[in-house]
Amino acid sequence: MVPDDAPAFDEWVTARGPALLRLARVLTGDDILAEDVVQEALSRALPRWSRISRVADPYAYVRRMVVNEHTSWWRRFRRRESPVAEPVGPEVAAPPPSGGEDHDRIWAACRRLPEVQRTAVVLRFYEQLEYAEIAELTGVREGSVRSRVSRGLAALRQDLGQESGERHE
Amino acid sequence: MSERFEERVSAALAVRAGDGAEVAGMADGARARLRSRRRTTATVLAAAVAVAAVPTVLALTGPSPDAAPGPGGPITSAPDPTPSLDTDPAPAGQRIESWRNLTALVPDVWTYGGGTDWCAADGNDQAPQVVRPEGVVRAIGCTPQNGYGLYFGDGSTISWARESGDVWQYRWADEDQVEVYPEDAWLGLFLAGDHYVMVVTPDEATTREVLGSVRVLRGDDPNGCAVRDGSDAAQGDGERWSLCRYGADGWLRESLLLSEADTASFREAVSAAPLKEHSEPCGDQPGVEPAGHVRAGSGGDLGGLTVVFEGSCPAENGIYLSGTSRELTEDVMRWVLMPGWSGSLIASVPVPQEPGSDR
Repeated sequence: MVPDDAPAFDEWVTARGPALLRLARVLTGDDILAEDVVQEALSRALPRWSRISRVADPYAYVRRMVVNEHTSWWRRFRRRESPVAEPVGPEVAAPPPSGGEDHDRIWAACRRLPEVQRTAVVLRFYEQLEYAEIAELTGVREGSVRSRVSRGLAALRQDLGQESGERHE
Repeated sequence: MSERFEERVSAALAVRAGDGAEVAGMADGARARLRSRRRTTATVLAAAVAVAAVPTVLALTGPSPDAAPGPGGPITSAPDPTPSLDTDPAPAGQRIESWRNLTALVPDVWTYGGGTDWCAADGNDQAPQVVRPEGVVRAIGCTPQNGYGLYFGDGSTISWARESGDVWQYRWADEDQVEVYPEDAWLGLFLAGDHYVMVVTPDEATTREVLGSVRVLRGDDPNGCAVRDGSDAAQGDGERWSLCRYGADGWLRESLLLSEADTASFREAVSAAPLKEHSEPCGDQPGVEPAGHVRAGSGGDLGGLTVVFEGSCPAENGIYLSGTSRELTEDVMRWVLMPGWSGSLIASVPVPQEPGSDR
């Protein structure tokens, strides 16, 4: 039974669903896939909503489900492909984002990152999570998170430097 | 300069995320998705001849649940397995996982696996999984061989170098010829006779917490499922039904306690299933074991039913309740293909439609 002051599922989805969907967009790089990932996570949260709604931070709880769902999808997708030296994203064109040329270039470079690095970079610089929070959310050690973020930023800098011929710091 | 680049990355991601996000219908979509739950990696098992009709008598093998434990270490008694009408059997943020006569509490975000998921991942990025022996595929050349999570298993042929209750940090060079678990992972072992639980996580506290939740069952598990199969195996909790999956050997393999709403949906799905038409009998198949199946219900035969779906013969598969037999349907299969299930289905068994073409 859900306590009187606990948010109903529909009400909570209306309030916090947009934030989850925006996160999923930058994790997946694809709007349709983002909606799929969030819906799947919500479908798993629904039967447990009486418990989830009582935790201290239901948004953090469901956010972790979204991240795990994205990771699960990516692994399944990669298994269907032939092994390649560098992991690549799905062949689905993402709509061009609004914003300047710099934003476009950086986002394109993000999509070229290995999936684990992009996930770490997104959680750090979009969701603004601390390393310890990312570690708990993804189930890996904090040291691994720091390493992935560092390598991801280094890869972005190199990618953007090669693209423009200039060295960004 | 480094901070400025990070700010640019943040800004670019914020732009890409967008300002608006249409969530109209998403809650309803989640409800619809709940009935088309996707499966985890399927491995091939040998399907077996099903037993059918109520009451069902299966050939039960394996150790008695009341047998004295082997020299595996301290055995803790089972907590009261009867779920309360007012509370869920598992604390917030956790869920119950049972296998044979063992039960444990794991974080709710842990997934299910045991196949090649770990091997396809990069290093330690896999979310912890609950792994049952029936779902394991040993991936040759996979390093490490296993990832984070909780592993149920039959340890009757294993010579343990550790004792039940031990928690330690894994250094593969000190223990094995190959990297069996992620380097520096924290391992915890629970032994109960021939059965074991191995907990593998990145940190000591989580390993100890999960390991500390492991219990040996003497009767029903917290989700209302008997350790050994029988016509009254699914006990449920008032208006909530238990779903109890049993192997051909009669041991409990997985359990779920449905919410009242889900119970109502499941019962609707069963009621909507057409009655079985006459089909060719399967005949005797020497050497074939009875198939695994799911018992569902609340409190014995009253409302209880059996779903057989792993039979190798179409006539054996179906929904059996109080003398009536119904055909399997996609709606019913969405419930009985429980998250930790892995197996093979013959062509006549309807498979729930996978959401999305990319899957």
